[in-house]
Amino acid sequence: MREVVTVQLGGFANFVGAHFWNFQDEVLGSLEDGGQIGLDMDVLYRVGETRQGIATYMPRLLALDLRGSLGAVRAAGSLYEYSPQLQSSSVNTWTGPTVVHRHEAIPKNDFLKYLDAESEGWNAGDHSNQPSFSSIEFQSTNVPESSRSRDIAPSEETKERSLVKSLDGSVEFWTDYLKAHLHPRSVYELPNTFHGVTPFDNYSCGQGFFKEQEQLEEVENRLRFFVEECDHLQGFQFMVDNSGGFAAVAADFLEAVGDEYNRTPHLLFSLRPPWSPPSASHRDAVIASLHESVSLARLSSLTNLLVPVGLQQLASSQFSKYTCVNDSKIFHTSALYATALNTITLPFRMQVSGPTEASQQKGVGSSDMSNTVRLVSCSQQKKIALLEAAVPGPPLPVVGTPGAFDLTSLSSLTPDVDQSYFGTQAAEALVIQGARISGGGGSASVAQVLECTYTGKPANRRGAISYCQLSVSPNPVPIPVPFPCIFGPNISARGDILPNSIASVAGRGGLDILSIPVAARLTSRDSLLPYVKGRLMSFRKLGLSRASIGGGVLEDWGFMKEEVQDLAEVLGNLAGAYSDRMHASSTDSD
Amino acid sequence: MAIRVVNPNAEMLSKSAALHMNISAAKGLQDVLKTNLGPKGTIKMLVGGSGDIKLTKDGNTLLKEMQIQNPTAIMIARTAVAQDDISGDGTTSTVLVIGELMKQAERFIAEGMHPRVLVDGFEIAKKATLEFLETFKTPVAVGDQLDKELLKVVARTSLRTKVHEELADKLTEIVVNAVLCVQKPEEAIDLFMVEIMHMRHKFDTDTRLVEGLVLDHGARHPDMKKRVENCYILTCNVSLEYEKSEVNAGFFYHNAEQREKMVAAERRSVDQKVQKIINLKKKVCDGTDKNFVVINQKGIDPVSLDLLAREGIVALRRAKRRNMERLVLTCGGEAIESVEDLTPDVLGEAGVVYEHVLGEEKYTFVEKVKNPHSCTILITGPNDYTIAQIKDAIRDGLRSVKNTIEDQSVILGAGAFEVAARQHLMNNVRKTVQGRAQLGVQAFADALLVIPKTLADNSGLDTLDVLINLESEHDAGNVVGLDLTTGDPIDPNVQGIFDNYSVKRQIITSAPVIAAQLLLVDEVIRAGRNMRKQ
Repeated sequence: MREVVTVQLGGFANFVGAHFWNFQDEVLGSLEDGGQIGLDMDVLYRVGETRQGIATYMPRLLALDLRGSLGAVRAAGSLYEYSPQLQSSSVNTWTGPTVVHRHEAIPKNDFLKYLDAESEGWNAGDHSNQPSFSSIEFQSTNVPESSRSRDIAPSEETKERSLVKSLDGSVEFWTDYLKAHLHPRSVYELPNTFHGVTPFDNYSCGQGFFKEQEQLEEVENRLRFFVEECDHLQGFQFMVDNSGGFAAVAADFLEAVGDEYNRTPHLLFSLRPPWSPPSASHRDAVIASLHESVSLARLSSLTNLLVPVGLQQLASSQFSKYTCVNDSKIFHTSALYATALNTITLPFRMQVSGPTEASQQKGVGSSDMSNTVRLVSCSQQKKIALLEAAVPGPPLPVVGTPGAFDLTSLSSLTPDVDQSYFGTQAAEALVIQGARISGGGGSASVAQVLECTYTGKPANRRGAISYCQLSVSPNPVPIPVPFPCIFGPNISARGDILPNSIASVAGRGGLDILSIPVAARLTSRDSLLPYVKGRLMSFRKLGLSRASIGGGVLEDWGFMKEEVQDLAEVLGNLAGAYSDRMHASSTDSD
Repeated sequence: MAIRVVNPNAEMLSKSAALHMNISAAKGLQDVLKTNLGPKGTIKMLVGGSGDIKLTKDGNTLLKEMQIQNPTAIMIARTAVAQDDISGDGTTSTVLVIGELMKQAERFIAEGMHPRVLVDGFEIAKKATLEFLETFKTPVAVGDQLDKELLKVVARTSLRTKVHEELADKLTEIVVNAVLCVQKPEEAIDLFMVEIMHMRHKFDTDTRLVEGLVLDHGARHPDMKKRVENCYILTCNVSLEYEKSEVNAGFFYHNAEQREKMVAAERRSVDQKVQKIINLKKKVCDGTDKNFVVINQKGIDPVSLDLLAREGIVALRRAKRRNMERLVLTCGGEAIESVEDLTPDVLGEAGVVYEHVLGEEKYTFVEKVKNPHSCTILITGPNDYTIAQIKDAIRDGLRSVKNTIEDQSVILGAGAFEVAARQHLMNNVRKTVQGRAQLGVQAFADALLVIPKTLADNSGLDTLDVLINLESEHDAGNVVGLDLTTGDPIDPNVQGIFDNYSVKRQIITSAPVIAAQLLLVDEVIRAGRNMRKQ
């Protein structure tokens, strides 16, 4: 087994994470009936047992967030501990008077109630005494595939529709739509912070949480709990909310645990929701800009590969072609990013395929994190990579006709990239899952995908790409019911891109679309240079010159002069790894 | 106003309004924490929006749980929380004293006194009180022969304000023994060497001291014994797992054969490390009835576990970083970073090592050790909030014992110090002060009485009667504290009620500073988005 431990830090990271786990939950359901094949879910999940002796199958996950950011769901989860009952007898450490201060209860939304009802029904009906270790047994939260098919009683369907509709407008917390049960050790709420009260919008807000020995030990222990179980830990996948203080929390966290796990690869997705241009205040703009630079410098020096994800606007990006994302709803934007993350991390969960054709039908290109990270980072020379995706993925040409898998349909989810930079050395990992054949030709086989990929313009490619890794899986991405309705009207139930709209309204979601093909690519191409260089330049301008407010801001954040110099150097080195040539050239750079 | 010119949206409070705001915030916070104080106080159960429960009798915990937004209250709360960080207790008292100083000041300011004069009086009174504290403290003999009974008395005083008497007395025994275990002459006491471990058990509430170490994980191989006696302990921080060469190693495989070779070489180097441990085991255990336990901070993969299990070695992986230190203090030997040149000197010893399983959680007990300098307090409780509260209480108890040893003195409790200090200020100090600053001294003196007053109040006693009794008894030349059951004056020395010197000192030092700052505020300006953002 090649376990992955997932660490989610911060609000937006947890929003993305919740979608990510919903995908996994859906996959678990369809692995059972053969809808998904060739995957090893033990990579992400752990087998456990509650105190009542009931087997559990839960994400190997550590999630940090502000207090109160879980809404109606308890941090300790509900499988391991009954909801505590408030009785006078429940205080057995004090004989004196007791006063109860009750925070106004946060009502569960209809979706959570539906999940509760479903798992209760499961408990009551199916609670046989046959302990079975097949994964699906424990997945009480899985929405059975059958309940989504068309021949279901109309009342049920209308009910689900209204459920999904109400979810779209009401999601406030990431737990509002999370289907997976989490282990009691998974969620850690930062003490002394309150969701919506404590300001947490820039680097300085998150500093110092792990200076408190107790807090550090608590978090270390939670991580240790998941790591200790692993026989062959392949790596950590971090999702970090980079829009505010959690960048600093993540940096401190990585620094603290780095020693312990320095030989284990760290792959970090630095996520950020769409944002509006910095406000009119000059100082705010300076703070926002310094935050960007500082977090990039700090995080990149503590991970093996950092992937910045988060466009300033999704609604007006390339992705708006087939999706209709509302930029103001992080429920929407996080869903799109989660889809790309789900695909790009798929090779870590794919079973290793043998040389025979039969085994290759289940997918080709299983990889472990250390290989992927080493490849894309060109052995740690380029520590920033850019993520591109096509959601839904492009169709393959009809069998027998010439043509290639359309890689140009992949567009960047990393901001500030310029495709006209095209240096000589780069590496990429491309993942294509569930590809479809155009013109309603159904699913493409793995062999067909392999045939059509990396075929076009080989001459052009050779000069530019040194290393590439291709992973192909026949499994499409199953769309969970609580997935937001962000697909356009011309997407079919199986994710085909149709020439005409089939729905009257845009905004098709989990009830209309069963699954989609997705392609995603992680690359260290030189197009990234503007991203890195922009941050370097603004840091030099704002942070290093003494006259600007920036110097004062950094001082307020607790950075000494030498540390500021160090950060600038880190950024300089990062940028130095990317060539600034605008066109491909045959001479070797570097 | 100037600020209006700069920022028309700025809100401003004038002098009197600012003062009023500060005073009412201080009083408000005092009201919240007041009922916490003392062994007859109220325990608070906090229920969160999702039904999460927290139970606390501790001012410090309570302050951290509250979403305080008033800037004055935040300032007071920070001081009080810092109080806890520095001395381990006294959060509630600090808030009470600050609140009371503000309250007393309000009276005089209403009569037209300038806050500056009051603050001068505070400063004089603070100095005098600190000097008085030095004469009032009871020295404690330290050195080779620690007065264990006295340590117990101090711990008990603290613990009885956190948990009920029966439990407090039990915990007292435990925390004193724990500190004595980790304490070494001539060295600062490192309370981190007391591990606090908890287990959830549905019906059981119990706390005990394990003279040894409890680890929260077990051996990961089915063939390893669940209980071994008479063991050598190897404490190490050595990776015993096959790892791909590091991510930043600068090479790629060119063909499958090369890759195979690399893998084999990596594997071999891990196996060699394991073999070195096995060799040491054979050297020390062969021909004896001794067992061998490996506790590793890094990972051990299944192949290595298998090799070790075949030799009858029990191996634990991924131990806490701090347990490396604790293990060595518990069992002896030393923690090794490499398996080169292993000698028997690095081994520690333990009488028994056994595993305890609760659901998916495993615990490993390393016990019956000869001369432990580290130990574990094991809390068993029915739910998380009960465990958390007991844990908080134990921390405070440990701190109180540590403080006593480090302060080399204690202060009589049950309000005795406050009553004595007040009388000292009123009878001796006030006369020496020139002018209206006298009133500041008086306000300070009266504010100290908030402690005995609140204690009486929380016990349902008549505050005025109690204070009159206490003062007259004191003026008769006795040291008096308050009996919370009867309301009569008692001698805390006889009853065994002692507080920490450093806690009291910290309260007297910090409370007047904050009160003075709040009283001297001229204007409050609210500008920009949020005052707290910076």
